Amino acid sequence: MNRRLLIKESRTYYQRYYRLVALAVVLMMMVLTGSLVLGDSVRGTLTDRVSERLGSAETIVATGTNFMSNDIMQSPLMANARGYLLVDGFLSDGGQLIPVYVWGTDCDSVPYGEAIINQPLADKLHLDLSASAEGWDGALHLPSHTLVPSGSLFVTKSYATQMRLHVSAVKDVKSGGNLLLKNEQTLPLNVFVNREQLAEVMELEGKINIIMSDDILQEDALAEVWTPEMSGIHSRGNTLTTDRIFIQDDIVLKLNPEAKYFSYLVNDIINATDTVPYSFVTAVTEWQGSPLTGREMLLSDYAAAHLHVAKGDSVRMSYFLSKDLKRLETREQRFLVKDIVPLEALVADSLLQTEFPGLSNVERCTDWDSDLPIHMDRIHKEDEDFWYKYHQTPKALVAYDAVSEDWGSGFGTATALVLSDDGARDLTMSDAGVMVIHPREDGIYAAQHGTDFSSLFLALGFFIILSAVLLMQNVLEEMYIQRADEIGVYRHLGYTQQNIRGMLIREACGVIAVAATIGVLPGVLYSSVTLWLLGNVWSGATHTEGFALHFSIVTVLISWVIGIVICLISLLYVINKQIKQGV
Amino acid sequence: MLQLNNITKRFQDGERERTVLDGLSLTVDDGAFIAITGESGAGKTTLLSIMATLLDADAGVYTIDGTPVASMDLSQVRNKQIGIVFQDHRLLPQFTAVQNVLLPVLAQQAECPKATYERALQLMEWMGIRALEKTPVGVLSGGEKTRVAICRALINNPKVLLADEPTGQLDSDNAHTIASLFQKVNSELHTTIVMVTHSDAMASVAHKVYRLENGKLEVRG
Repeated sequence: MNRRLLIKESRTYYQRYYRLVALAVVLMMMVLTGSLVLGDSVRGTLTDRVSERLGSAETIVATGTNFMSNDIMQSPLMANARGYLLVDGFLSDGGQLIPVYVWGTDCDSVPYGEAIINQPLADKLHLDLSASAEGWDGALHLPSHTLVPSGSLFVTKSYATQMRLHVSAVKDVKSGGNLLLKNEQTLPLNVFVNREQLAEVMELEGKINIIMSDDILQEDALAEVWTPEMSGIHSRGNTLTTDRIFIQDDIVLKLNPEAKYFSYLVNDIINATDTVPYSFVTAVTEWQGSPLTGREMLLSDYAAAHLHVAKGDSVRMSYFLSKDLKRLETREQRFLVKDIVPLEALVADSLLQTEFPGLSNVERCTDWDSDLPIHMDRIHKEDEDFWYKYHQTPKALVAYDAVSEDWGSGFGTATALVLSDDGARDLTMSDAGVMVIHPREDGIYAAQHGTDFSSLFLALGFFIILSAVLLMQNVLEEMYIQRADEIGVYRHLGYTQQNIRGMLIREACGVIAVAATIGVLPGVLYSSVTLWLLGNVWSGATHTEGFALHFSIVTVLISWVIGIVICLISLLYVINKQIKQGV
Repeated sequence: MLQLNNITKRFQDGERERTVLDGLSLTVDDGAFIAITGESGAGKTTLLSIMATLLDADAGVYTIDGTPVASMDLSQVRNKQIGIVFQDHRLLPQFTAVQNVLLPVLAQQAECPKATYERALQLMEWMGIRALEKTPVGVLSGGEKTRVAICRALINNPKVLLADEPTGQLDSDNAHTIASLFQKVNSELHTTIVMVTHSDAMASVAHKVYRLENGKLEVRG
């Protein structure tokens, strides 16, 4: 006979109490383990999603709102990389427009006119290509996406391009069907099309805006193969222009140019009752070695003749001002005609000829395609003749400082620069908006450090845990009150307080340990049910496609240990209270 | 030898203090068998509790073999030197008779030696309850329970056996048998017995009878 037998006999005798204790512990463990496993599952699912949406890519080179020449893909550095032309678009399905990501790719051998979609999009379209050998025909609607950033002044947003396509296959997750660059948990709806075809439709021939490499590319290595030309920054001699038309202010500041040019479409150049409507005017810091300051203007002989002004006269110039992204105001300034210059001299200067899409590439003013409120009735035959002959040649040059604040925007503060030397070599990739990202690390970090569902569900289940602990304490307390005489007998027979406490703890611990272990199973079940609810009933709240059950033995052990510690603290509290009360 | 010198014990009774033991002195020689009688509420159980080290005296000195109890390890004293038999037996219902008998053994050690188990069986044999070894105590009669309680008090071979109204809940036949057993324990095991009783018949088996009155002991026979 030994103490272990006494403990066992006591546990059996008082089993009616211990059954309730076990129930409380199982309930507590269910919530505790369930919450921790939920956290594991959310983290695990999100981590899986990172792999799904990145495929095998370890490095992403993104160009932001800019584009990059596909020539960079010829570099040996890009041996394991894929260049994409990625744009947002809409897929029409029986009158419904489904927002999709359109990936123009050279991989996957997507022929002209065909497309591959990912499984979530196939599900959305209720498309089973395995059952339909003919595939599915649809139309892709693409927004305006020229080299000039959408939203720039003079660039219309009304461009929308349509691309007919024949969906021939579904790309599964393992093949990178769920590629997604955004750190989102919803499954993307992807359409993969031939890059050249997409580029052609969007007038972005030879351009890409995303590179995904299976190698970890360092920015320094990429900088070795990158040139400003690849990002559409053209440096010829000591001049600099860009495909984006507007040169961003940080580049202007960095290059510290000798001269700045800013071409702009003004509404009117006015002298008394004479008006020249809708003219291109270029703001310059200097032209042909002669600086323009204050409110000085060089007027073309063409405009001078129409306005009947001579050197030394003053004219007014009105123009639209767009400080709040196309919410237009009209402003007027008066300029002093510093000199009259021959129009041919202006025509000869290519830096003055800025080509705005929708304006420069049409034969007639009335064909201008712009969001600006242009009153075509004010355009007369002589204006059309000028446009036909000289297009965007400015009719006047004005001092840069006089208008740069009005004309400049977040898109840029110049349309051409004259540099002291080949200053463009100082430009870096980041100046051109090219970013090198190692998304897996960031994505996994975000997945692991997002909303902590363990804490969230522990907080939600706190009152259940508290109730379970209180239930356990009350039952134990009631039992020890019933056994007050027994505890007294132990003391009379020479048992020390330590002995008595030890026996009671061991007696209860056996039950607690077994119940805590059993409680793990309903805990996993609890998390499974909650995950199902999160993915189905509460999917609107989580904005996800559901979660898969993930749990590690370490998490289960941690919850088990936490549960045991909580129970032991409660148990010790009750036992000590009873012993202190002189039981 | 147990010695109580000028033991005083007071209890708060509402707003007034009641002196239950008032400078009481008592010497119990080794091998003695004494009975203490008295009216209900006279302080018999209080005196026995002080002797059992379950209650502290407010004043006075209590020594066992000349050593003040206050300086001793009380758990050891209760376990090794003193055996107690309560009026209500205080057997633990979850255990069998022999398990109850062996409870004091397991206070000092986790495992009960086989020899001690044998001794428990011998004691039970001696008390005439050997057959009840594995019987749950809940089903025993009052007399059987008292015998189990006596065995439990004797298992560690204590110097003194303290008994508080051991026959208080028994009929006369059982009381007589228990009285005989106490005599047997005293004469054959030479165990000192201090018995508190209100029964004159039970007190008559003791060598010396004291009456507790007004907080003091008087020798009656």
